[in-house]
Amino acid sequence: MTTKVGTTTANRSLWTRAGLAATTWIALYQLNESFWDWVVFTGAHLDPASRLGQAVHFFAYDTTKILLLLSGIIFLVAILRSFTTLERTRALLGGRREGIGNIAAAGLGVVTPFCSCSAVPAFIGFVAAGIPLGVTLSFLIASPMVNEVAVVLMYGLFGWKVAALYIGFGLLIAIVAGNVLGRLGLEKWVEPFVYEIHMGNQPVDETAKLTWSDRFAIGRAEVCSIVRSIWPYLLVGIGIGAVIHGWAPQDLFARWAGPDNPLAVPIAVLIGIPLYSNAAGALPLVQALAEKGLAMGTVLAFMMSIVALSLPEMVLLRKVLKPKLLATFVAVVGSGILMVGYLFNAIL
Amino acid sequence: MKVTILGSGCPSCKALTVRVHEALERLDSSADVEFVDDYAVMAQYRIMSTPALVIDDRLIFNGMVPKTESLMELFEAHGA
Repeated sequence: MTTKVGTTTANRSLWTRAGLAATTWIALYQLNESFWDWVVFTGAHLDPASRLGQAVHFFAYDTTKILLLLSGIIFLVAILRSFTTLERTRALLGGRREGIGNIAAAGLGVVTPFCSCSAVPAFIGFVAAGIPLGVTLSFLIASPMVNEVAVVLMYGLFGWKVAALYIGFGLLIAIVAGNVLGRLGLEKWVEPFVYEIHMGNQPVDETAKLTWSDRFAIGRAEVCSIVRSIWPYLLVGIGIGAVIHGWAPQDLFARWAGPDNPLAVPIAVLIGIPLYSNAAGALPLVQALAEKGLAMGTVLAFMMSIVALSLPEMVLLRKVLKPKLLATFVAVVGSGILMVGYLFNAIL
Repeated sequence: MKVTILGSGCPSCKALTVRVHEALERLDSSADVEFVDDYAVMAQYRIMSTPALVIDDRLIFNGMVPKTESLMELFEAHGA
């Protein structure tokens, strides 16, 4: 009896604390801009019309906003993901044909927890369980691309329309590229040992035992872990962005990297390849560039390239994909990203 | 007791390695610890996320990095 009451009280306290945290977060987010207006322009007496004033305000405001957004979304997504596992995703995808399989894989790629280092075990797990190569690749493209850090940054810096476009076209590229790669019949370019492994089908379901307290703890741990790994890049990126915001001429890009320059998109895609973990730093910088005329299609292509064509992940995938398959993968996904870039430069 | 950590060298895998060593030290255990990053070996344990912990060739968990105290409890239960 005592245990039951104890648990109920503990639960109530857990949810009360969660409610308080949410309310505090909302308050901080709403008050962010006014707070920094006051600190920078009134408190520090910087002139809002001056470059220095603009740059300092941009830096303080953007850093706070992005950190708040990141912690909020990472926390929520980590909790959501605590309800799914790679094992369950594999079980769900087993037996689906190409086409539907590609769509399901891309969708599941978004909600299944995934870290770059799991790319190889996940790939082996899927393929060895009989999931078609193309479907597995749809998962592998969608998972890093439509990740919460990227989406949050896109939303926080460019608004929900651009974030929605990013998600929508990210998924489309994952589905189509996976389907195309599947049709090319490239199984012969997968390292042979992958097909020699026989996986059992019972999912090891550790998620059923998690309590809400466990899930909140997972959420907090994810926030700390991700913020801890990206904050230097974030500050550098926002810092450079602040300088550009304050000092670069308004039409900096209109002259040579605006919507009409056909080289802007491929260059952006190429620069994105080595940048993976620096997405957090690259984005604020890119936002400042977008203010100075960098076309939105180029921005989208750049962001997708950073996360989907990540060099560290390519290096890992080399262990299971022969160079020809890896090259084909990069070419197909890269082409998809290029097309999205050009499309949006033309229509936005 | 033989402890094997399966991983690919990413921060989570390194964190698990550190905590495993810490836990075993605090338990004053003489267990063997090895780190494996060979994917063919990992696949034999049927894991899909790293890092993973194997004790005496039995898979204990994968895809998480428990606290040192939890690891200590785990090792004690397996006869550390």
